[in-house]
Amino acid sequence: MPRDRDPLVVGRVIGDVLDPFTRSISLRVTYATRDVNNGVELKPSQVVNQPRVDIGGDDLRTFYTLVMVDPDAPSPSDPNLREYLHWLVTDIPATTGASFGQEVVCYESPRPTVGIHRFVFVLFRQLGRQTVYAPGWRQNFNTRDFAELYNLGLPVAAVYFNCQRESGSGGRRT
Amino acid sequence: MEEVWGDISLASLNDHPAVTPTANPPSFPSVILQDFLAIPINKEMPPTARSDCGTFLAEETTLFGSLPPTPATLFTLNARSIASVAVKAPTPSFPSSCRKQGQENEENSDDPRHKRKIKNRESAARSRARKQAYTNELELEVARLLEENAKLRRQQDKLLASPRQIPKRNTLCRTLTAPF
Repeated sequence: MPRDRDPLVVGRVIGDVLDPFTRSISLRVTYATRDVNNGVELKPSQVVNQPRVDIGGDDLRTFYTLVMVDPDAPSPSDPNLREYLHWLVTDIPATTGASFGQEVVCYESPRPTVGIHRFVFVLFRQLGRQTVYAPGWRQNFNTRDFAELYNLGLPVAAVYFNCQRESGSGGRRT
Repeated sequence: MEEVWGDISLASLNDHPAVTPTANPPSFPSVILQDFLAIPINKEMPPTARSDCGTFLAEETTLFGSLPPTPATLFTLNARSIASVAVKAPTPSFPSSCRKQGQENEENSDDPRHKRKIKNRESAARSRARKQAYTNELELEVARLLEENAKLRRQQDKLLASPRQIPKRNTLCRTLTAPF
């Protein structure tokens, strides 16, 4: 697929949060019955609780880290808190899910107040089991720096969805 | 650094004896660049700065030109707005020397409208990107699902085409084992 058609590129996830990468592991994120595909719009009420995350791969001895960030905090036109860390789970064995990993930063429900935010899930392959320290605060997290700090390399998978406040009026006309 | 300032000011003072410092001469040797920048934009510039001493102006503009990047790197992400103000600060002081920024001066006077236009443009661009990204994703999903569908149909056809290969479990193979 041509790079410039990739929804992650068009939606500026690659650019604002991540560097270009090649998908190699399947990542499935599901809120209740709704699968997260790139660019879908979900309401805050639909994402209150942490989603079910299933990852692919084949070797149970390979571990993965899942990061969930909001690059548009507090507002997409002035994202001075980019990125806001919503969830951080490490040591997820391949073929399993986030519930099998270590929750380093617990899931915080998205509650955008201004504008339409993107919420990005990123999956990294770990070199081995490793200790990851939670950052002191959730705002101004930098996924790129985090990956470099823990030698995670480029992502192996990513997906994002859009979310605005419950009574918001912007976004796709359904 | 301060010696340079000292040298320049003394040289300019010597070249233009007519332009005497006012009652409150700013003591140049002690004025460091950061303090100079900290002077509010509206305040009157020191008399020697407005003099016709071209070399002096040139020195200042080059110093100004080299400084803006530095505050930007020193400031953190949160102070991005402060950094941009620091870069803008020299502009009104030297409108003649900074030609590029001179054009922006007219639009800057329309500030709230101009800012709003830019914000609107960015918002519209984000909106278009959002729509396009979702459309692309849907197209990919459709292609994915069609392929899966075709694959499953082929599999099913194969299984239906060869029923003989299915082993029957309920039939007896041996009916007589005992010799009696």
